[in-house]
Amino acid sequence: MVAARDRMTLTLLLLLSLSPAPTSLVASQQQPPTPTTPPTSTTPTPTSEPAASSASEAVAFERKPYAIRCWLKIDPAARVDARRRGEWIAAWRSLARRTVGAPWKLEVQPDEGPLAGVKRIEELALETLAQPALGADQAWLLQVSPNNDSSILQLSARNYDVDTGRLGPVVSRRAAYAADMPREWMSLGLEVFQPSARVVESGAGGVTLSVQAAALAPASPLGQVVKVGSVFRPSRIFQKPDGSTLQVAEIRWTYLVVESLNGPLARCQIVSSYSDPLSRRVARRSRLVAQGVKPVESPTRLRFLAANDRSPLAGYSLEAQRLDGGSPFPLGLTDREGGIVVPVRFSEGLVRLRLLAGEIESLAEFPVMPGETADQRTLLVDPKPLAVEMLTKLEALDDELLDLIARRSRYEAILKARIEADKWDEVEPWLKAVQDLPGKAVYQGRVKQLRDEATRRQAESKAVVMTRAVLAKLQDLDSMVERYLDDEAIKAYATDLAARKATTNKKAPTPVAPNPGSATAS
Amino acid sequence: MATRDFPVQAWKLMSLAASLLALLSAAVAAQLKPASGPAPAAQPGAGSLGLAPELSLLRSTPFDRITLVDGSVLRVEPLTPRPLPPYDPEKDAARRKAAAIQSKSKIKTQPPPSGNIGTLGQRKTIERPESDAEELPGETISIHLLEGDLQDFLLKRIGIRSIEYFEDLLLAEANRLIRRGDFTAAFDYLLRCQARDPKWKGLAETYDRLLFEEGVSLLSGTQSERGLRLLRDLSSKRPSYPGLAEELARAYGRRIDALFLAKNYSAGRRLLFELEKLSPNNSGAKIAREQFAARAKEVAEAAEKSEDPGEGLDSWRESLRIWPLLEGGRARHDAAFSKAPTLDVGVTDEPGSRGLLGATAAAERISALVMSPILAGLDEAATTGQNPEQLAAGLETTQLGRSLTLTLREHRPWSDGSRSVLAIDVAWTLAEQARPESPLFRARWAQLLDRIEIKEERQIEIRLRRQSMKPEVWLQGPALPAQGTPWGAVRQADGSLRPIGDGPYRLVGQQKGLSVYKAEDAAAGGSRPRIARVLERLFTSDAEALAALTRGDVALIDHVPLSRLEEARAIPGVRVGAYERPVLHRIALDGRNPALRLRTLRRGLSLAIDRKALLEEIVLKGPSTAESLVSDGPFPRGNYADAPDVKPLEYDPLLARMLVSAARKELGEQPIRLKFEYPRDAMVKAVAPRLIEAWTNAGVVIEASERPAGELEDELASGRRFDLAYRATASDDPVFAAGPLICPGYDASPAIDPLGAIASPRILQLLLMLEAAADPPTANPLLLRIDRESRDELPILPLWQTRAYRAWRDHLTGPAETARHLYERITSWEIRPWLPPETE
Repeated sequence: MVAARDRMTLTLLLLLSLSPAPTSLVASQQQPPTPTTPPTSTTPTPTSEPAASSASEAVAFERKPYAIRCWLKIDPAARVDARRRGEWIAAWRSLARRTVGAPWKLEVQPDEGPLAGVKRIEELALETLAQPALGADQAWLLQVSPNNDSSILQLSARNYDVDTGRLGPVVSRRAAYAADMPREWMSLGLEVFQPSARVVESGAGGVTLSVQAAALAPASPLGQVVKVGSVFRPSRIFQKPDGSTLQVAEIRWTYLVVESLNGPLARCQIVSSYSDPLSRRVARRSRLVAQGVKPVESPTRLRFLAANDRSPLAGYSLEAQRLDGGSPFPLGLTDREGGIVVPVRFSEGLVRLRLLAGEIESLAEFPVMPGETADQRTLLVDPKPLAVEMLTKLEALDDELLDLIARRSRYEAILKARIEADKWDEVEPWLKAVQDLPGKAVYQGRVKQLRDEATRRQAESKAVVMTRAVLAKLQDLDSMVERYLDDEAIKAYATDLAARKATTNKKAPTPVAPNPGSATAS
Repeated sequence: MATRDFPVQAWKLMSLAASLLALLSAAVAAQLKPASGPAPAAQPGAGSLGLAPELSLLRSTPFDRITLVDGSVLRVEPLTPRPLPPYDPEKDAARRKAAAIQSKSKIKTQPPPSGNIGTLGQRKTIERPESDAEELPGETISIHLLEGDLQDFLLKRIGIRSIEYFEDLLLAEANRLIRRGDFTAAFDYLLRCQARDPKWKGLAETYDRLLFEEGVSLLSGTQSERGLRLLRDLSSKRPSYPGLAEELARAYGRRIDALFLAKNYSAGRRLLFELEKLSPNNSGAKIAREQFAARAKEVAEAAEKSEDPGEGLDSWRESLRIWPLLEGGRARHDAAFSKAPTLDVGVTDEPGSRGLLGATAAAERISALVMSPILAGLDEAATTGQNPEQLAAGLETTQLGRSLTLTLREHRPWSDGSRSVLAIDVAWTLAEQARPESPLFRARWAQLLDRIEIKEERQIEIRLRRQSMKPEVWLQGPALPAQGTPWGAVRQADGSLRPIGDGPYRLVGQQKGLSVYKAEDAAAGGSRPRIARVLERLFTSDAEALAALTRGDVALIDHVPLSRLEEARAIPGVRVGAYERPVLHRIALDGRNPALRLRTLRRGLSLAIDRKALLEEIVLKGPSTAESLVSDGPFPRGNYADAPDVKPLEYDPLLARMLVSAARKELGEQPIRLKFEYPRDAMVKAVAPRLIEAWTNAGVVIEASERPAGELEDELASGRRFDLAYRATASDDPVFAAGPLICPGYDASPAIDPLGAIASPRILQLLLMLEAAADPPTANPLLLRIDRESRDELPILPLWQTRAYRAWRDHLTGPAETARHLYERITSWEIRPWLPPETE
């Protein structure tokens, strides 16, 4: 696992220097700007808004409650009449007041709104939401339907963020009893709710977020809008000259993790695949915003394609590691289409995923929030075929070397025992057996040959061959050869034997061929 | 005191007085008396002789027993010569008198040459013969007592009442034991007697008696066959042994009856003929003969009445099996055979749970009988529609191989006669193969197929998502009826589901290891097979099948044991042919087991196997050949995918132990337990214990599980989890077969993560790259890389490759010397009327 971590770090460093692909998890603001920018920020626009806008505006934002507009659709098959519906809504609003309080300003619409005519909430179209949600900060869409196999009611909800125009994943719960419905709606609301924030400052390896309604005191700790550990996903909103939104671009594979709170301001660590995800070098007028994101109980679908020809990267292994460290754990292999479906709840929070070729060469590393989106997300990755091939060769040589070292150690132990027991008659055959094994020079030559081959192929193909993993492996092999194939002791034994022969002037008995199989017995 | 007066050295004092002899005898007899006290339990051979248990005749030093005239008994060392020459005291006395007279006369007439007058002070030179000391030859014997005073003595035969020789004692004890029914012990005594003197008088008679008594005794028990054999042995030696003929007749009669009732006619008949030879006018033999003939006649009458030619032939065969001497039976059998030529086949495996859709050799074999492939191969004859055994009349490839237009032949009806095979059947089959829930699912095809369009009644267009190397390979399977289940079964009018086919034969019966296939009518396929019926008989091993071929019970067998190949070739009237494709033997590993994911463990398991020794000692029972040799990778040796520079896999049990130990440490010092599944095959069953022993010695805890071959292979192909599995399958073109060669569930539904079973991610990547390869220049280097890297990655443990053989009798013509499967081009085969030698 240590080796894997090392490999990962090496890969990171190499990617920083060589590749435009996702590279770094924790981007530092002190790093020099690199050509690497998030794929969505391709259109140059004037720089984003100043880090600190006017103080009054910021305060207004932090003290502004979330205007949440809710539409509710209850399936007729659930057999809930209007009276019961009204009771549930009233009870729910009451609960929201008592648990969240000021930060939420719930507005439940009497009609089904965008849900009208939609059979399943998953089928909701984004374009149907913008107009009805106008004037609100968030739109919540709730659906109540009977469960197929029992009398339990199924609740589903989605969040639509008006500012970024993003529709969140489906969150579901079950209500075993009708009386529990307001309580379940409350829980669902807390899950669906996504706080909004603005980036007010960036630097010193992190960013500061101004979180909407963070200055408002919640009715209970449950209603706290932002906490240490909360995760935000940044987006860049390109604006028209009049300040209206031109385009919203998600900054992919980038998350902001709250490290500390200072009143309504949250200091965040940047976790990204890019070296400078929140770059200020944007041509058009824009502002940076962030939206809260939570793990959702739905599978995470990923697909990996080769960056050069878009061919699926099939048979590659994906592993995950918690942000706070810990051992990486395998998630599975990519299928024939290069896709992988990571099961529900594989992690309780943000994790970093790593795509490995042959479980030896790290190809890509990126953060992911489990179940963040129901859609399949595609990553373009350099498969580094030459580096992987070279690593495979090095692994084979490593195995061969280990076998040799094991055999050599066995023979040497026997040899030493014979010498200590003063059985010089038996020393010679064993000495010959050790000397017959390939020596240090042979393996030094082979390692050098592979190193030269890697260098040559890298130069010829202009593709990465000498990755950090390859370099580390070559170094390992060098060390092993140097350390374990040392012939000094053998030479000393041979000298002793020759001297003894000369002094005793006796004819040595016919050497007996050593039998490695009987080595342990003897 | 008296015994000391008779040392042997005092040869000259040979005039033993009778009284002194009596005294001596009395003294010795007193010493031989058994000790007082309760007698210990008698041992065989001891009790009856009054010997102490430790003196059991089988274990004791040989001795003879002499009874003197006074009744005393002496145990002495065996006398010589044996037996002593006969002795008559009266004749002896007369002879002695004549000898004495002759002796005296000689003394008188022959004075010494130096004179007979002596001088003073000199010793007499004349020695007078002492006539009393002289003995006639045979009058005395020298004995050595074995008890009491262990000295040698001379004993006058006149004082001996009787001598019991050791051999006689052995025979007496053997007889006693025979009477008691302890035949095994009696045989031991006879053996000892034979070892001392094979020609001892009475030995042969006692042995005969033993054979007779034991034979008769066994006849009434469960070992009647052995009893009969003993009596037959006796009969061959002494046919006139009293009572033997009657006993044999009785015994044979009982056996013949039992065999007749058990329908083991050949054995019963053999006994009958034997009995007739032993006892020519035996009435029981006559009755049995009539019984056989009557039964044969009865069956023959049924054969005559039978309307079905096949049944008629079976009846005729049965009739001749009962009684080959049936008058006119042979000719009528041949006539019946010509109406329904029948091929008896001995097979050793059967399809698994996936039936004909499985990937087993049995499925492929039977599929060739009952189904027609859409394409019968990848050669030009197949792709241009010239091969008459396939459904396709033509195949057109367009859009750089991304579109295939397939036209079907006309008049290829389903075996239920409902309709012909149409485009809808082919389209449905190919679509089912792309549906993950279907038992026909093939992952690679599913990934390749874009859509299928039925153009006409007999034409479909198949569109592929991408270019693929030889996409026709996916059309080599059969088409299934669109109205049926994915298993090819169609609901009949009576509500039952019955499989239907479009091949040259259809299955008409299956029970107790016998499957009957009947040729379809001429109108169906256009060319009716010349062999009307195929009867597949299942044997438990290839050795049994070979024995059946040798006996003539079957005319074709699917496998010849490799170790008996030359023996099979030497059988008169038998021909041996090879299969085209070599069989690759390997151990499949499931990478979904975290332990097997460890390369260290895989290497340890590989290093523990002494491949060469196993192949040569168990499989071939001889040296490796160019066709049967140790493997170094997943592909056959000499194949274009076989990298030439791959070093052979080593055998190093000590290093294996070290690697397994390292793997154990990596797994947290827990014992590594693996389940090893292997097919129920005679050769594999012999190899498996050695593999288990090797891995156990390396430090892995192995749980062995023997499974029917077809079932195991089908289960593995469905993608189910396993640990270690022995696989022996024929090798196809590596471009298409590399994946399934390495991973049994390579084409299984992705729902069960079959690709995770490939223990080496690197090899998996290469396999998937190979899958995407569109041309040979891309694919071939990948194959070589897979072969080369498999040696170190060890996604499987290669064992060896062998060439498989089949054999057939001469009266079957048509099988090629080399074939892809057993029934290749069976429609052109012919078979002549023929009966097993036993019915000749």
